Amino acid sequence: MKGTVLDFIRRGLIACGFGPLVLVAVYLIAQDRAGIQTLTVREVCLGILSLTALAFLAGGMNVIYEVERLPLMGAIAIHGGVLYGGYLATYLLNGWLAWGATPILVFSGIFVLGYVVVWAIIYSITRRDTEQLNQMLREKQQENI
Amino acid sequence: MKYKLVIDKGAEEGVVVTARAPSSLTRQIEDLVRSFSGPDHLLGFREDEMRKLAFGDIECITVLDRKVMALDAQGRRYRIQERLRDLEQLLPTYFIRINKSTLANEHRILRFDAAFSGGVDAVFQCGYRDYVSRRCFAEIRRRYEGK
Repeated sequence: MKGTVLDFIRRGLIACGFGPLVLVAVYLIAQDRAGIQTLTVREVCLGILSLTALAFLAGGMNVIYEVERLPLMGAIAIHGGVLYGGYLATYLLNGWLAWGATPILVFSGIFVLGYVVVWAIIYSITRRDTEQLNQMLREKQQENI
Repeated sequence: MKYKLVIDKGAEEGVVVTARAPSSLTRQIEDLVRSFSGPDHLLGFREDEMRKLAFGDIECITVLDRKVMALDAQGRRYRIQERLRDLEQLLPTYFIRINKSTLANEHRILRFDAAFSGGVDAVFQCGYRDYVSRRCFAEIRRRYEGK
């Protein structure tokens, strides 16, 4: 457990440097598409801090895939849940998503839809791989009879 | 397959088999050599009973409640004194690691099951099932594909 926590911090620290870089892209897109020309000091600081924290969380959470006992879908569910909370909080804090039931529901719906698509792809791949492995197992067992 | 016997009083004894792929013959040779030169069984303890468990009769060896246990064809659990790490060296090659706590007798695996959670379970002939870690799944696949 201690090793997992340390790994989480190590991965998070490596990834958190990318947060401000993502923020640069967001600001450039906002300028280009929404015509935003000025930002307050508070907005910039909040943006840098929140994106750094989000990148730390996103990078650190990859450690979940190293936990052997956890099935892939379990790992993805935890990873997805934490990222959902992180993204939602970041969007709301920075005013990129309006407060209110409708925007949050739309955001959640898109997130869940993405998750279901990922789940369906992984489940079908796992089933296919398992069937192939069963076939190879049967061949190997027949060889040994 | 060719057979060659070299008598050399000064040489270290050993059997080397060259084959294109593992087969029932290589397995039998391995079993024979291991039974001749080393143990072909483990001692299992269950309540007041101590039993010789032939390697081939063991379905899997796993860690349950921090104890190394062997499961036989009837699903009975026997406590084993050796550590899993040491057993990996001792057991024949048909024992494969399916996760960090379990060595499975591949002859006794009934099938692999894809779980709804996205994981994979190994189902044994005695009905016992245990998860296959993603890393071990890839290793088993590579092994079966002969890579």
